[in-house]
Amino acid sequence: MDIDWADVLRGALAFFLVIVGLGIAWACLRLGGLFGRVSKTVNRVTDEVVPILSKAQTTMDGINTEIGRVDEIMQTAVATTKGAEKAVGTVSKAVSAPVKRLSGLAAGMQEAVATFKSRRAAERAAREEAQAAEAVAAARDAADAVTAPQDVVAPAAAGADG
Amino acid sequence: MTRLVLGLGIAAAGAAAWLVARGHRDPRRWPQALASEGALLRRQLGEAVAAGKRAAARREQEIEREMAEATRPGA
Repeated sequence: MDIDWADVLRGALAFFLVIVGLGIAWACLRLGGLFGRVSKTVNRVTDEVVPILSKAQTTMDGINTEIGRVDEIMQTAVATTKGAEKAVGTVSKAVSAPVKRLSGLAAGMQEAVATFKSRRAAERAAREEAQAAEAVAAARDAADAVTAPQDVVAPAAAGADG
Repeated sequence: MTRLVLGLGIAAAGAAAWLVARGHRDPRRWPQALASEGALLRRQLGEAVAAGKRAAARREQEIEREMAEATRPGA
């Protein structure tokens, strides 16, 4: 029996083509199913996301509105703070000037009284010292006056005896 | 009139007592003593007033500095 290899090759090619066609058909079938599921998923996600986006848009609008209000509140707070700062500065100036004067006056009077007292005490001490020195000098003069005649009489008596 | 005489007498007696306490016991030298004591008192008072003015100015500057530090931003 003589084998015609060309027929074998054609048969193998036909078999191969049939197998490839079946494979492609199977892949296309699976791909179609996949596309169908993807389409369903996309539709479902779209159906779910659109309301969420709508809600997010609403939320963002609300947030923007609140931010605008907060901005107004902040501007008002800043203006209030500036006004309060100005008022505090004015009150501080109005109060601090008399307080400063009064405190300075008190400190000045205290220092003046202390200085006057110290000057008087020093002067009194010096005067008392001078008076004591005068008293000592006077006592010494008196003692000299009492002892002087005896000094004069004693040599005279000694001369008479000799 | 009686009050005036009484007041003048009390003032004179006080001045005399002060002069005696200050060591001026001779009444004939009281006019000079009164003048010298007055001059001394005026000088001491002037020194005390000058010291008080310096202390007051110093205290005012201290308060001003404290106020400036207290109202400084970030203090």
